[in-house]
Amino acid sequence: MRCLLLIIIISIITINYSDAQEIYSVEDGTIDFRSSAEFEIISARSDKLQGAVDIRRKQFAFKIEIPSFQGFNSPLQKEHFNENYMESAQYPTATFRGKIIEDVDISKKGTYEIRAKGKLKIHGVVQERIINATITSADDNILVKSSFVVALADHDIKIPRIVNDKLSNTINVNLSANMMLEK
Amino acid sequence: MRTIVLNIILLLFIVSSTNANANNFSRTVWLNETNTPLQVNCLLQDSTGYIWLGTEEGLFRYDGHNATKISTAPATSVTSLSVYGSKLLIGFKNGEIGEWDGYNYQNKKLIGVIPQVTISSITPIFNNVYIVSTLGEGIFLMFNGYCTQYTSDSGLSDDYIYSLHKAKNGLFIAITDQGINAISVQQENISIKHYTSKDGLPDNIVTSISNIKHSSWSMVGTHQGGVALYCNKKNKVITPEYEQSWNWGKVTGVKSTNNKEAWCCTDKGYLLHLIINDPEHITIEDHFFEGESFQNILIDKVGNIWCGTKTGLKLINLNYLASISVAGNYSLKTVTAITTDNEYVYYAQGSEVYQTSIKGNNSKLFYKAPESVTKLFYDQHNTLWIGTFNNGIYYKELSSAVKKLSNIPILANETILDITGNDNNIWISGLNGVRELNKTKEGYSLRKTHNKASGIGSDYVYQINIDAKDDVWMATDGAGVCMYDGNTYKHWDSSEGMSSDVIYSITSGRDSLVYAATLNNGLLRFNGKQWESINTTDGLSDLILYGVFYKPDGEVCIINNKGVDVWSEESEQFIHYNKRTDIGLDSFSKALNLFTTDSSGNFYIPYQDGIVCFHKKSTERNVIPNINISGISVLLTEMTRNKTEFKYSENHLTFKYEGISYTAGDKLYYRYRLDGYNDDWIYTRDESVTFPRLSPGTYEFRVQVSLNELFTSYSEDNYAFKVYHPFWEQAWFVILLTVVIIIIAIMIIRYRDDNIRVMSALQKERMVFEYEHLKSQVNPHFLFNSLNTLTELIEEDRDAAQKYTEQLSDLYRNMLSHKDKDLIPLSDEWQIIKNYIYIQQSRFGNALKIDIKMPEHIIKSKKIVPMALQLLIENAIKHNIVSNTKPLIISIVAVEDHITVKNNYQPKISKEKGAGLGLVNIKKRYSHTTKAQVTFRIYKDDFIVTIPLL
Repeated sequence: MRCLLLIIIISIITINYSDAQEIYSVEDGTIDFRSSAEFEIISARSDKLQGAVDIRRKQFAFKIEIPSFQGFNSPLQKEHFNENYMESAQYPTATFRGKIIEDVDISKKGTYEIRAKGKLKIHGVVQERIINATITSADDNILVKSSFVVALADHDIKIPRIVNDKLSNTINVNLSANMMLEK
Repeated sequence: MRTIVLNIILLLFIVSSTNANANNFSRTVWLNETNTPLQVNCLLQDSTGYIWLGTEEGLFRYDGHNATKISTAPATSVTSLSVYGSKLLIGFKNGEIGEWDGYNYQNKKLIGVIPQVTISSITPIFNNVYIVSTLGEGIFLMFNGYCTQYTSDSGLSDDYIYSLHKAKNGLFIAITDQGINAISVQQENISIKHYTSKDGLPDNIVTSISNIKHSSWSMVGTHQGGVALYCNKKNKVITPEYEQSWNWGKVTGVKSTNNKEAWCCTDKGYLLHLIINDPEHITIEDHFFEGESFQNILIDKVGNIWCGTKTGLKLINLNYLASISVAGNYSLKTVTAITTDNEYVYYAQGSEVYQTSIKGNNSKLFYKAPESVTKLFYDQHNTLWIGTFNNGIYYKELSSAVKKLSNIPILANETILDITGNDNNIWISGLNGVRELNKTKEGYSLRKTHNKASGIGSDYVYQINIDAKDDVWMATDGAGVCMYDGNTYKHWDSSEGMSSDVIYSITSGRDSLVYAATLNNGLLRFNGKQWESINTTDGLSDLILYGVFYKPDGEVCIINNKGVDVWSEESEQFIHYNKRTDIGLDSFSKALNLFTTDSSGNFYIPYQDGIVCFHKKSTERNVIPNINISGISVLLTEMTRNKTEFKYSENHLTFKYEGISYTAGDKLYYRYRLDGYNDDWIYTRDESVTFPRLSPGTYEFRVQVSLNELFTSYSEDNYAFKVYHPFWEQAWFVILLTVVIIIIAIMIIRYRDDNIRVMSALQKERMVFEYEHLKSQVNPHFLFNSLNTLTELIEEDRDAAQKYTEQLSDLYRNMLSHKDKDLIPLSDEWQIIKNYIYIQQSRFGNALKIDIKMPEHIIKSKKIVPMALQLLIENAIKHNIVSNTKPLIISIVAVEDHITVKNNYQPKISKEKGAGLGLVNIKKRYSHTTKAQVTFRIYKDDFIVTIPLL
């Protein structure tokens, strides 16, 4: 399943483009989020991040399965997260795809501060976002690190008034991915 | 009088304490009734003055007090607004484009490769020729709805276009995720030049742009690199230096007001005032709005700043007002005096004098006087004067300590009301009159005392003002205004028509104008000859005034019981700043003359949160409100303004109008009149009027709006229309009707003429007949024959003779009685011919045989022309041989509708005179009464006549 998805993502990126030498795909990636509300801090983490970056065309796509998030303060909270807030049965994935704004050559070794602009789709709602990220490029792998804020209202995620002070309106998200050159 | 003064001074010492905060002088406009947040994406002010808002839930129109949703436009996210002529062009997030012509919304039909993503800008070139930029699909050229797409394949550096601007002939500037694209269109050739960070842009993502007026420069705002300047003439980009690095967030909107100044807003809630010293150096003043995220910026024609936010619309008054921070223990009620030296503002709270920087944030205790401070004055020699309560005057010269003015004993324990000065003179007003001091090398010496005795008329002078001609104007308590020109005193008081003798404040303006504030009778203006009143009908908020000051930019600031009113000499209108303006200026001090001004014309006054500075206006402010007739309904049905002609039955008209004002939303006065109906202006505060039952005619509805009741300056909107007469009152119908009537009359006359002619013909016929008949009656032959017969009968048979005579007389009587009639019953005729036949048979005996077959019912029911049968029998006897050898046989047979008279045809050889006349006569008489024909013919030796029965 995971392989199939990856192939689909890569084939989206590589349409009309046969040279696959410049594509990095996620070997090992994690996403964690943290909601710091007044009365409760909720955090969860998933290491099921998938994605690929075409560094020559400067395009990228990332994807995460919502139910794969682990952590939370209780199993009940996880259930609420999936069923009430994210409605993961209906919207099982979150994606971010787009292009890199900065005119940098990532194939060269070094660390780059870049901005990734694209469509962030969470809870079925697409938002055009510019997200800052750091890319550290090595021999045949790159390390992508990014942290950004997601406003729940932007993605139509409704919070019941009862848990207003237990759940923050904005969620801090951290992403870290080690990506290997496709061969 | 002394008690009044003391009371006022004592009022200054009521102490209370509040914390001082910086104020951004802003107001949030909620777009929907429920005050729920609604993100505003784009803003535009049209030529009528309306502010248009493109929101996440459709299009809104704002007139200064009401935001109206345009319900006919789609309630989806509006992302772009622009205007061409009177047409508003609306771009949507879903790629659609619409037009609003002032009355109707219309979705534009697009053909060809049409945009599918957010429309970020629409640039009209000509009517129906637009250049449209999109977020992600490049640029579209739309020619009458036909779209041609230009993308990165056509040479654009990126397809994500934030905005497109028309710069000059054929040059368009597109701002993208990959820098600036200068698109030059020369006839068929399009050349595109890119500017990115390599060319000096601080950031490749350029999010907003504003052309700097009267120059080839544009200011651009970027995602994280702040602002930069681009020159389309020199083809270069300059990133100017600012005093600190950019950390205000993403620039979401930038607007330049003139070539020295621009404003920009950011997503982090900053409004930045950019002062362009030169393209390489910019000074930035930042204003933070907690919790806001600005989406767009607009500067309206009055100069107000408007920002679209995630929650609604925000009015920000910072280009005209500035807040000066004050020390922590600031309290409006304790402030007793204020002055400025252009760099610092000095204000007194009780006996403490504070110094606060106009620009910066440092406010500190400057000096503590031994007594309460009543007046501060900074003179042109950089000396700060401090007047106290019961403790005389202190002064501080530049770079020396505060000293008491002690060499003039009379001032040593004086309570000071006012201090002013010019050149080397200092004027001090106290409870014992006015002292004029002279600056000498040794210090200050008393030059002259002006008081009640010397000619002022009062010992209490609340304010002294020295005008450009060095005339000294004094506002007195009880003696009106006094002017001292160096030699003599001139007075104006209630005996000369002034509304009050107690003047609190006086200021001289340009062209010898002098303004004076009264105790509670409003403002007075001296035009060189006399004093005129300016009061609430002119728009003044309140008649209780605390101070007046003339600003060199032509505006007069008046502090009154409600707030501050700014009077524009140019437009003679007031702008009000008070609680109702709702921008954070809620209350001002009620102490007299508690304000100051710097040398460049800025005006400073304490308010509840500190000190507010009314800047000298940088551009002419036209505050006259606009007006728009926003709705016309006929019999409660909405009409568009294009319809100007109404039927006679559509005569119940309602007009809705709204004033558009962003300086005085609740202070609008309207007046209207309907030319053709009433020539008087009707004054109202209502925003609609109904005219029921308008009689037909031509009308013009005129409505005006003003900030004051006197309508000294106003805007007007008008609407001309026509109510038609009903068709029966219209000329064509009247003419038609006249013609028809004339035709009918002519026809009637003709018909009558014809009738008369027929009648007269009939009359004539009858006369002829009667004549003939009469002739036959007196026919000598008939009479002779009858008399002969009678003679014979007398001899032979007396009884028969008697009967004969009776029959003859009966015959003549009947003949006479029927002669006037057109028709008689057949029975009557039957009577006549019975008599006649008897007479004739008596004469002819067997030579005449008459055979009659007339059924009884026909005799009773039918009618006949009188004497017709008699005439026919007479004719037969007259024209035929009647003898015993050749007897004349007459048969008369009546059937249903006619009667036939037949005799054997044996004509006499000698014809009697008038032969044939009788038959013709019968025919004519029948022709007048019936269409049935009278016929006569000869058939097999028989002469047959048929006459109709009626």
